[in-house]
Amino acid sequence: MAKLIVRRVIWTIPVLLLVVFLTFILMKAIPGGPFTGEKALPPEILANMNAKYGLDAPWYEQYLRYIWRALHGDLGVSMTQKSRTVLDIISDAFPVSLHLGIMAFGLGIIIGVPAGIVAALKHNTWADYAAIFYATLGWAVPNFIVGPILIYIFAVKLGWLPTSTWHGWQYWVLPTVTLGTALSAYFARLTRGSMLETLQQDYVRTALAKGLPYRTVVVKHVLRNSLIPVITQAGPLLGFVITGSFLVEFIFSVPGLGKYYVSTVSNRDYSVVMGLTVLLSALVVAANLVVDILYGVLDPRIRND
Amino acid sequence: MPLSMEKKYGAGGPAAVRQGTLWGDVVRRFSRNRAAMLGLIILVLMITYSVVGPWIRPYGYADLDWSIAYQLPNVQHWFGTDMFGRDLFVRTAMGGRVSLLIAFSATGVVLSIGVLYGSLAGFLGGRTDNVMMRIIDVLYGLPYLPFAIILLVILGSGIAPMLLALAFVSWLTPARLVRGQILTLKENEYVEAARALGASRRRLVTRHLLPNTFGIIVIAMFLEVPGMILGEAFLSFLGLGISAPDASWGTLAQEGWQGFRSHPWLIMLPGIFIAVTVISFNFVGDGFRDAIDPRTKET
Repeated sequence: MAKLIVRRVIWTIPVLLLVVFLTFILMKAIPGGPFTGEKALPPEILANMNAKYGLDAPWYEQYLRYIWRALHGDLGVSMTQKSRTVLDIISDAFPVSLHLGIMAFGLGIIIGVPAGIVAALKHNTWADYAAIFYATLGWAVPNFIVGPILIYIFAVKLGWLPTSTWHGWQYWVLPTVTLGTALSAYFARLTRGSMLETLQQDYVRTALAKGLPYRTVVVKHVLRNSLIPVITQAGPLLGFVITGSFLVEFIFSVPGLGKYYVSTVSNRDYSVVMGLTVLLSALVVAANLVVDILYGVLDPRIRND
Repeated sequence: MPLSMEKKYGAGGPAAVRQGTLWGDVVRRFSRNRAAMLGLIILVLMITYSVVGPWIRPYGYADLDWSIAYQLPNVQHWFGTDMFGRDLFVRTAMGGRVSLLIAFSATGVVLSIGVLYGSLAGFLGGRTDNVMMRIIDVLYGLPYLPFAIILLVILGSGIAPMLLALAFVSWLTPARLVRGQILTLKENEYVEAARALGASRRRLVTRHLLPNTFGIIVIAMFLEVPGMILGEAFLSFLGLGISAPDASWGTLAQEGWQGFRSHPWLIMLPGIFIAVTVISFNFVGDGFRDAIDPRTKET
């Protein structure tokens, strides 16, 4: 068990290094730099600016310098907003995104998992069909359609909720619902499928034959075992939350990481882009790690791997 | 012949029973699945609309006419008009062409790479397999969206960059699936028998292993395409897709987004098409998977 954890943790290092490397190379591949913007700068000034930020050194030197500084907690200064360090920008934006992500994830679970359970237990009744309908629709209608529709209904027409930014609890509702709907649809489908499969298992039939009441069998055996695949799928789901949040933040002008990302890439703000990408990758890697370990904890069969 | 057999097979005996083929069975079971057939019909309609749509109306997809902007569906413009007065029936069909083209090509690329990689890994086995799988594990850890965005900023707008951005991460799952299937199949007896008879490696792969992986590959395909459609729509919505006046469903949604507070129809229309297409692909994919799986009971 401990060996499993150690092994998994060690593997995260090459992944992170690869991410930094790839991002670095890709950013360098974009023609132009942070200072070749609309105003054409005289070449001497351009050279000076580049020298100040170390952009005139050979690429491997820049790369190593970046890693060295990053390890000391210095992610550099934003090249377009020169008064803010990358760390500042990230620490302002990250909590917002995290907040949104957690709420949406929570909503997804609270609605999706019970819906899936009910659908499986009442297989082939109207409850089941309703759940399938919801699950299919929730997944197929993209975020950027659901969001504007919700805004139109609740903010423009009914005026109940505000349309954008992030100043209080009313502002949280629509973005969370938008992001959470697709998640809950996914969870519902997953839970339902998993429970249906578990219900067919022999040990369930045995337990019922032994005379255990249906409810006990469901709670003690079926539920626990059905939830394992749901949890193991949670890793890629985090990726979904991250990508989904980019859009939702864009639509609702939520001041999180996603909103920044596209514009900083277009502006070639190297340091911010590097910082954001590394952070996002670290999150994904950490989530996968947690899921792997959780899987090992929950399913004794793979512990002896 | 015993009476029971005679009752079951008729006087001619078991030889009189029609021999079914594997794919014949699959087709029959698929056609009994109502949801799957519905999905298939809708998909065919969707493709037909995308190809034929622009030809059956007299408007071009880039014809501007500000005097008739923002119309809801009516007799002259079956889907209404957009903010520049362009006919939406034609534009949505053009969008369909691009979105479906991108989705199918991206899936093709992804499957080719995935199948190649997966079957090599599965077949070669041992340490090569281990290394190849490790590479996949590491790549799995990369967050897809930031890299897709960076790629699109580098390569600019257009169909090919979009293809690349969509495909470069998605090949991992089919590769794993194919490898898993090949590993399972390799243990089967007919492979051993073929090898004992002296079949070359290439013959083993092409005549025995690959045809049996076909089912998994097709299922993977049906489940990848909707992801591609959504992915392309998503990236286009962020402004990274193809440039105006060309259209994809994603860019149409982007245009709709700009005026949606007063004219929500413009963003709902591509949304409906995207959702319906994705759902249909899901139905067809599920139906195919159930039809192929011999354990699924027929209703």
